[in-house]
Amino acid sequence: MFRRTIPTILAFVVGVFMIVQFFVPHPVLQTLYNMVLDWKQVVFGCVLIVGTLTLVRHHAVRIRFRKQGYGYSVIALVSLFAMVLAGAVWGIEKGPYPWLFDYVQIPGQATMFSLLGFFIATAAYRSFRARNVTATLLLLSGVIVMLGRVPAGEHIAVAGVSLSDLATWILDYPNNAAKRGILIGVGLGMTSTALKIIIGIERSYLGKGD
Amino acid sequence: MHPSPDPGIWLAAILTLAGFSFLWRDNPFFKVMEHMLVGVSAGYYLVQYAYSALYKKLYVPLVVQGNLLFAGCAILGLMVFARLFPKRSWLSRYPVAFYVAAGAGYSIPSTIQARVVKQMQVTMVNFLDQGSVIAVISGFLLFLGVVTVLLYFFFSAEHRGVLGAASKIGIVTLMIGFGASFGYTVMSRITLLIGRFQFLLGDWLGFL
Amino acid sequence: MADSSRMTRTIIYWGVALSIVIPLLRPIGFTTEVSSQVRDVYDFIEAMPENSPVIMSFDYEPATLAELDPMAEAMLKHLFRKNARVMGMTLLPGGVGLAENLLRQEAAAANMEYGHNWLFLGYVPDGTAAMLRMGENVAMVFPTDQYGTPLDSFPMMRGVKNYRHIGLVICYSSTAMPQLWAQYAHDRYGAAVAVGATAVEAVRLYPYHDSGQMVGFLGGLKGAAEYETLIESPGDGIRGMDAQTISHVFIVVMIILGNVGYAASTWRSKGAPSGRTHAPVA
Repeated sequence: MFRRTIPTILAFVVGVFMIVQFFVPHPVLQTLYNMVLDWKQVVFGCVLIVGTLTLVRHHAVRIRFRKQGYGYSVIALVSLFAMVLAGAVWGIEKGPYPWLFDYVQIPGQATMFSLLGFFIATAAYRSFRARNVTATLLLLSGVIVMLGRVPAGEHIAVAGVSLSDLATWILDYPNNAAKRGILIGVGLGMTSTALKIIIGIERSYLGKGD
Repeated sequence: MHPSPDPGIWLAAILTLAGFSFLWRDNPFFKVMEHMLVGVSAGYYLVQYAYSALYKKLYVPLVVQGNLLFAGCAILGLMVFARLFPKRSWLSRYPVAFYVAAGAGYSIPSTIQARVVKQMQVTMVNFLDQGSVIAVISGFLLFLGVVTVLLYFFFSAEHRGVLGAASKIGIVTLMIGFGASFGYTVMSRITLLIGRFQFLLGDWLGFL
Repeated sequence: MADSSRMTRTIIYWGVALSIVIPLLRPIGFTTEVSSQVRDVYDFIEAMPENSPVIMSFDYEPATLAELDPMAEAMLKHLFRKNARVMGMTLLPGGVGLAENLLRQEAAAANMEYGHNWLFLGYVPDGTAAMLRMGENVAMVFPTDQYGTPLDSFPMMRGVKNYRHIGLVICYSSTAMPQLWAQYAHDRYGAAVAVGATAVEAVRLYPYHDSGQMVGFLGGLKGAAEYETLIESPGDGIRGMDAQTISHVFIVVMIILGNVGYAASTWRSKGAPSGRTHAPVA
């Protein structure tokens, strides 16, 4: 009962309250609404801390049992503790904490994601094929937007219309229609999932077991 | 060429080159850089989470400002840490249920309002009143596109006859939309690469 | 087969790298047209009264700074020229360092004073709850600034309680955060929302601009270049447009070559099944 039923009832009460407060702006409900929002932020912050601690545990286990490549886990943990120590001892405004962010985290993350520039070029060469009518439409639309949204598109014209204007039209109309249709569909899907959570049909967030 | 004298820039450049070495193949330089990045990022995040959630959002209102309402979320926050102890991990279901349900609750009316009603409203405009012939046609295509995309995702009836034809128009609209997404994705990824080359050629080597 | 595939990959990698490096070293000087989405943001800021409070949410991490930093930089320049009171914040922890760097740099360049013209509120977890709570009281989301000073002690925060007192909310993001700002800050509390988004995300924002849920948006490096053109202050956006153009042309040429190869191989083996999902790897 304490392990599954009461958390499910708690979810129902909190969920229904948050729906009701949207329509009833009574001062008491407003105070409770603000309280729930404040609490929610603190709870989420704690969830993020636990998530990071789980990463620490993962690498600690790899080191403890000398798993293959555990040396890399040592690097990860040393870097992590160095960063925490830097923040705790020298503060977060100046010193090694922002320095490590500027010269390790920024170039590291930026480089990791920039590799996608190379990969997307090879993927475009290998997979972007005009196999049938719909694939051809996808390809044409992609190429027009790619060329039309850079300055080159202003100088290339097809049947008197510049690629830039064509790209703008594609983005403003067919793309807008597709994204709007998806947006409405996703909106309905999100709403039904949220309802399922509140009325207890969807309980996977509670995890497995008792 | 005026290479930077800043050791930080040199460290960043070495890490950038170590990252690019993955293009050749997975190698120890890349792995060291990757794990260093994971550690530094996790450490950075951990400090920010603790400072913002525990200090600014909990300690300041509860202890400095004396707002006792925050005692409740201190208890809920503490229960989250039960997740780290398998025998007591069920305790973390309370804050998780609270968090998930609160989010679900306020998202329902807002989602309906922002993503469904507003978008339907703006679709149902009079496209005949647009000024030029091209604008009228474009307006009609926009309306037709939204309706047929929705019909394409309607699975309660077999896609034959009128519904089949409508869903085909929906596919065409979606494909053009996905093509635009692909074009923009290429643009995005190339920009990230430009950023790294600007750093290597400019900040590090001083060519730019 | 594997060797040929490796060779093709190597050629493409070098092609992409050179198509970026050469225009960076030898700029061509392409000019860029301004889209209506970007002009709407510019016009809105131009029409704002002097000294208007503006929230700038740096909801991005270093992974996408190449796209978002140039637009945030250009808009900060514009806002400081208009003497706007800029409140920086972030809903992602990695955004703290990025926002701090950019705010300090632009505030110093424009001689803006901390606490009077600009402020850094820091990071707050749980984006949607923060967006909603700021609709009631900004000081409850950020009891202090990033450096621990209570919010009400800053002169620029006088008379600023919630979105009703904020001229514009600007979100820079590579995620779905702009859609959430529109959903919660605009639709629920009526805040004016402008967006700087990565190109990947920007393509999804057209319906929001059309419906008036967003003032406008800047999409990718092109958006930054357009804004730099409007404020007549060239930066990384305009400087990157040459490389962006040449690399796009290179990728389009690669796509054409790939399709020519595919057509040739289909023509050679006419009996092959037509429904396969992948063409032979070059």
